[in-house]
Amino acid sequence: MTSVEVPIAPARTPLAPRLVELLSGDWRYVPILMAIVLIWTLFGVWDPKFLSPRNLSNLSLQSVVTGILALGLVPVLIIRQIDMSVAAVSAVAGTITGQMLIVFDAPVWLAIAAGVAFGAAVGFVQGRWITWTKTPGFLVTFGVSLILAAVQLRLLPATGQINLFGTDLTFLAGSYVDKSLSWGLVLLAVAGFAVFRYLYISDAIKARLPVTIAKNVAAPTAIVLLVMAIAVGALNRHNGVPVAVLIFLVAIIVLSYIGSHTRFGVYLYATGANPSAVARAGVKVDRIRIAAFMICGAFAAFGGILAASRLLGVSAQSSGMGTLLLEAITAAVVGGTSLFGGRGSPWSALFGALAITSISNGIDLLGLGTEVKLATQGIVLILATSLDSVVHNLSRGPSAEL
Amino acid sequence: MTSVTKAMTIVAGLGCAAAYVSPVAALDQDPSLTGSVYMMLPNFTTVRFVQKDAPAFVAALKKYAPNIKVEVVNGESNPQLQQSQVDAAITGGAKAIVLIAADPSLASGSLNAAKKAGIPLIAYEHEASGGPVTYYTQFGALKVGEAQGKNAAAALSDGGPYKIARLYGNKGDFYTRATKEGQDEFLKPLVDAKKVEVVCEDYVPNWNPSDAQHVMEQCLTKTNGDFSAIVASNDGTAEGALAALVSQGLAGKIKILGGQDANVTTLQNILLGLQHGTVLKTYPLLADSAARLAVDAIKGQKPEDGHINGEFDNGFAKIPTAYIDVEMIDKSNVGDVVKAGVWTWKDICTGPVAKTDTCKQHAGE
Repeated sequence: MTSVEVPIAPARTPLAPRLVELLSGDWRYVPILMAIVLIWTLFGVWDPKFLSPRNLSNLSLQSVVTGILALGLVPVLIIRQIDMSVAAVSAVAGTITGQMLIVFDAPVWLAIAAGVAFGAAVGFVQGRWITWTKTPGFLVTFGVSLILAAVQLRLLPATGQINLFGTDLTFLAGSYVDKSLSWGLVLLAVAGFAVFRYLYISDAIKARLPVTIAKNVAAPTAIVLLVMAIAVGALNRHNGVPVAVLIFLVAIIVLSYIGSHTRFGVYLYATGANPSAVARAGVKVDRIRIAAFMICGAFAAFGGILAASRLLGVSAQSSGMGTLLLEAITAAVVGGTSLFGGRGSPWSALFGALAITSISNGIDLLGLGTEVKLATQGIVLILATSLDSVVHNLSRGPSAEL
Repeated sequence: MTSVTKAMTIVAGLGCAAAYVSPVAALDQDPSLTGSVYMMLPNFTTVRFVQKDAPAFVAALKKYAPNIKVEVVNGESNPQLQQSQVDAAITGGAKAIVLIAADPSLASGSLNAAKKAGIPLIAYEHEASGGPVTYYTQFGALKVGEAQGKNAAAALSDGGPYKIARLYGNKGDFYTRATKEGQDEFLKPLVDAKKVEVVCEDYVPNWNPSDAQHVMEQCLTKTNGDFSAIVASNDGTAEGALAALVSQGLAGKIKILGGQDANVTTLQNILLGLQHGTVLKTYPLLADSAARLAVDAIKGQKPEDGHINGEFDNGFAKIPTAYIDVEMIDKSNVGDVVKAGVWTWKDICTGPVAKTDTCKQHAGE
């Protein structure tokens, strides 16, 4: 993934390998961001209501459940694994939280904690089993999803559903950040970003590398400020920034910090890129893998609890047998996390979820029907995974085939 | 799980009591019948089949033929699996098969296999098309749609004109089409008379509540929330629509009409004043009808007068059909659901709804 490949193939046009290098590196978000802009422009021209504050508010909430599941999948995809049980975990966790609230009258924080703990526990068991038996994770987690579907049917009351209307859980998806507070948070986030960027490049400046404060701190900060101001401004013209969206963003920032600034993060990416080399370096690779599955399980569970809060209920129909699993995987991959491991970041969950939710949101708004929605989702999935494959194959370069 | 056993005991108890009190029932108990009858359930997600219909059928058949054993099998939403279960039932010497098709349009193989083996097959609730069927017993999607349409039309007759939104079921399935047709009988005249304007309408994939929520959110965006009622085709989609209204602060301001199944969540929403009503399908009546038809078919006798009250064209033949009555439930008669043996007050009065007057009156029942 370095520029070594360029001199190796001098006969080729240098543009293609350079593009591949950029797409697997600094530019990895460019395709997805362009896609989002394109989708929004198309729908916005077709029906201006698509870009109304009310719809953007809908869109942000509709993206969050898929986004949180996708976020959990990112570390698992990075270590070259996949978790097919996320939707089933989310359904069971929603059921556990709902039952704790309704049957045991538990405080809402405890009910949420129990659901998330269950998700992490499932992740631990899956990760331990996969690393211990060396079975492909795809099969183990798929088996677990079937078991969990059975568990959910057992946990539901005889009526088959739990009504959460009027319970404390509804705050999770149903409340909004105070408008002035949201502006305060924007300023805090932007300031934090600027300081962070500065600290990040200060060593490079000392080393007289070609970086400048204007190019590497001020410009990105201005872009972040602009995007956040537009988003928060639009949401505040409706009900405000949904609390669920805030939680999602904080989770992305935390995970992305862990990914890029901690030893665990370094090992995580290295495990995906070259597991044997990492093991030779004395890292306990299995522990990294188990941790990735636990993060995934916990986020899947939280996503399920959020979904229950949004739908004001849980039923057998909210089980993991629907399209949620595929949507979550699609979101992560569309957003730029590779199915081949080693590449991707938590931000891909946000961008991917936003892109695929925008499509279904727009299609519903225009009343284009189920057929158009299914076909479009299929095309997007194929395009995104194909781009991932092409970039993966080219970035290994011709020498890697030997 | 105690509530399941309890519900089952109640259903069974009612059955026994009825048989004891009226020894001159239309169909007498026949202890000479033996062997097994198979009940083929379609899936696990439509909980009523597992939790309600199956135990009610077991109880009903016990009443008419105490020495016949009922085997309950679940097709897990997979028509191929269901067909192999039908084959297994035939091999196992089934006396009759009660089939709730996993996929109504893919039941042909099962129907023909049963016919070839000479085993009577009763289609139950779901349409089973493209093959021979002995009898069909159902509530009837058209009847349900008519009940929804009549109720909605009544709610929309005073004042107006009204703007409404309509939510249909899964696009392309028979049940969705027939339900809509029933609703249209009552809504179309109002639309033609310009008393009602449909501002948005859409199908909901697999009747999924969370999809219904998305569809309704988009409808609210499109119309800026400017309509006064939603007509939903079943309770799941009505619950999804309500969630959309709640998150936009419109619960109670926009009426929710229609509904079917008498889901517990929906009954709670009705008691809380969030939804107008729902169509009750009294499962024990349907199960009883199927049990009687199964016994008639095994004995090769004609069903008693009036039981078969119509026919249904399944694309292969016109099938003698028993249509079972449905009932519109609203705030005033939620108790009928309990009387019908579908749910208990304890099932209904959990969570925040327990604080309503109706639930307080029935506390401890």
